[in-house]
Amino acid sequence: MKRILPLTALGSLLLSVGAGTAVSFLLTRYGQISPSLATGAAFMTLLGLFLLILVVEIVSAFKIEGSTYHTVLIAGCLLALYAFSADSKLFMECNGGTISPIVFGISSEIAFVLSEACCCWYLLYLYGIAMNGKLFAAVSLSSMFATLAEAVSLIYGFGYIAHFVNVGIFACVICLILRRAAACGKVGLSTYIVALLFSLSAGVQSINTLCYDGVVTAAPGVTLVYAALSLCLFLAVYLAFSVHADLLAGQSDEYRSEALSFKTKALAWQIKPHFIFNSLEAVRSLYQHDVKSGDAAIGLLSDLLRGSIHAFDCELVPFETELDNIFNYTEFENLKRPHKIEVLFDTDFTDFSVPPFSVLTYVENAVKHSGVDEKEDGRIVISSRENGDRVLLEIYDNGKGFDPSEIRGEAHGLQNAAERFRMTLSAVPRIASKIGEGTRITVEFPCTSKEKSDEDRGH
Amino acid sequence: MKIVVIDDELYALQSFLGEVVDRDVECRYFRDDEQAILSYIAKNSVDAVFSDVNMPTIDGLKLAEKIVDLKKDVAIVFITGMPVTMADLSEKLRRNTLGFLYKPYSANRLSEFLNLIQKRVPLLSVRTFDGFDCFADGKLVTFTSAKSKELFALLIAYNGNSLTMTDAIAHLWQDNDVEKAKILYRNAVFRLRKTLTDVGVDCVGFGRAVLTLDKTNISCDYWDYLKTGGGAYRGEFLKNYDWSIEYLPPLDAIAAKS
Repeated sequence: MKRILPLTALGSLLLSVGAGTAVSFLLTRYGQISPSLATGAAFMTLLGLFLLILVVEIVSAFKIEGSTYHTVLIAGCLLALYAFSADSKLFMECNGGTISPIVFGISSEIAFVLSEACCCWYLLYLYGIAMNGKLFAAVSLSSMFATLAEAVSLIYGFGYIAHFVNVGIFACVICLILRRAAACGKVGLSTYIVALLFSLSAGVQSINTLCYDGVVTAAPGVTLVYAALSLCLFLAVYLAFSVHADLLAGQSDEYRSEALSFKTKALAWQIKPHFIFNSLEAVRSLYQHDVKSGDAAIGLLSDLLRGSIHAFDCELVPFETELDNIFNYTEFENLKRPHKIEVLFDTDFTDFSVPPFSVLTYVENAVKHSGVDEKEDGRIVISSRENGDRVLLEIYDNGKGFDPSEIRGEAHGLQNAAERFRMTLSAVPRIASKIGEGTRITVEFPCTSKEKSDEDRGH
Repeated sequence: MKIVVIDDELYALQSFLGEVVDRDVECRYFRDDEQAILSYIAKNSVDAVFSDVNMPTIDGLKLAEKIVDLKKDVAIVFITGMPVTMADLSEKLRRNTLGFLYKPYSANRLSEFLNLIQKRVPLLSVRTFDGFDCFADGKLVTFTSAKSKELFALLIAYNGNSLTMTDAIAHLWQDNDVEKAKILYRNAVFRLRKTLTDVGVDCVGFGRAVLTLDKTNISCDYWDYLKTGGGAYRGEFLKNYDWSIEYLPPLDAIAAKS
């Protein structure tokens, strides 16, 4: 892939330049076609279309959020390139004007260099590649010198040599960019289209220069064909960019709104007012009973609340932190309950991260709804295993169980936990439950070392 | 040892005083007079500063930086109600900060920090004759489950030998099937580890399916009795646990000799 891409670009460039020159040469040699009215009309139409696109581009750059001025510049340069083409010179001459080939030659060359530069710039922007400053200086300086040299040599009739130097420089730059993009795995349809557009404008300018130097006699319609193709390609680039931008915008919108809702829900957990007030009431009655268990309850409750505030800032926390939260929660619940809930930590393996308060949500659900405290041998087990390079996490109880198809609606917490597992670890928690036998929640995901979690920053 | 405590709330200062009064600690309290704090620290040799983070007139973190500028080696502990962590501190502060004492703090956590500052390892004393109880620096250790306490008792009875999971299950959970017994074992290990961490005692090595005990900072009546024959053995050893019977004959033999 890495090699094929620059080769394709180079190949299509050579093909385009070669074919353009050949067509122009053959047309001049075997059929002296005068610029008829039809070519003139076609020329004017195409010029008008370029102008229209430029206007649309300018308007959209100002009006539409997320659009880019890169395409405006490309459109402008293509328009200038075509306006100074050999076709345009012929058209003028047929209508009685005299145009200096040197002025036209140098104007079209400048337009060509700018359009190529814009193509490169657009590619850099599209793929987020930073260009080396020295390389940038070298490219712009050498193409400036080549253009200057062309202006001088046009007078002596060999401006095309300097032009081909320019083509060579930009071909190298485009190849470099495409290679970098391919190395990052970012090559898409629009890459190929931009490369083709580059080749075509190189072709049209090659014919222009050859005509102005008098190597070939300008054949009407050659640059017209090129311009028409350029126009189509430009439209394709524009479409590709719009689709790309829409895709990106869509993704970031989805992510933003989900992140917001998670935060809201996390907050809802933190300040679930009835939980706090019930807890305070429990603490008070524990203190009346005996001071020590009151102290223990205060410690557990404040650790739990602090953990939930801290969780607000993190996408992932080490599993040990989550276990601390679960421990604080279940111990606190047990202080309040006459029938203790047996919570078993079967956690041999802890070197991974989870979304904060996610596993706790499942434990909380089991504490509240499974009814294990009313059962003789009732228990909740939190189990973590290393399974190759994957983590197998299970939360199961032998309580009442429920019908998993009926959990929608009120089970915001469960859905929220599942969503966060999906967003952060690409894991989908599976809930299996049978009435009378209990509930088992299984999550499996690749093992990410806990160092990556937010909490370990700076430790 | 000299420490400085900075907290704007009077009741918080008072509860601090209650915790450190029985230690060999000279405590100096400040509320919110930054100049007084800095000039005191500049003039005196201070081992550690306990400072609140959010105070109405002073920013605890900035104050701590000024203190570190004055005294390079001073240890800093932040007393805070918010989940402040090391990640919130500047590079300079991290070097001197021992940790965070989250409000409301327990006597255990405070003792841990004082131990750290005094570079003192807490002494665990274990009582096995009659019932089984542990005391860290004289305070009774509360285990979070009966089985994790029993597991620790077994480890003490093993007297420094490593205790494998199979052995532990054979003693404590022989009535359960293998899979369930393993779960119960791991749960007991998890809880034991938590309890010991909470009291700042680091004497158990938690390996894969094996536990080891470092006897250095533990005093145990059973071990002393095995060595010297002196102590309060009256025919009862870890009497709450069924498996303790196998340990009685050697103890009785020592008792018969003396």
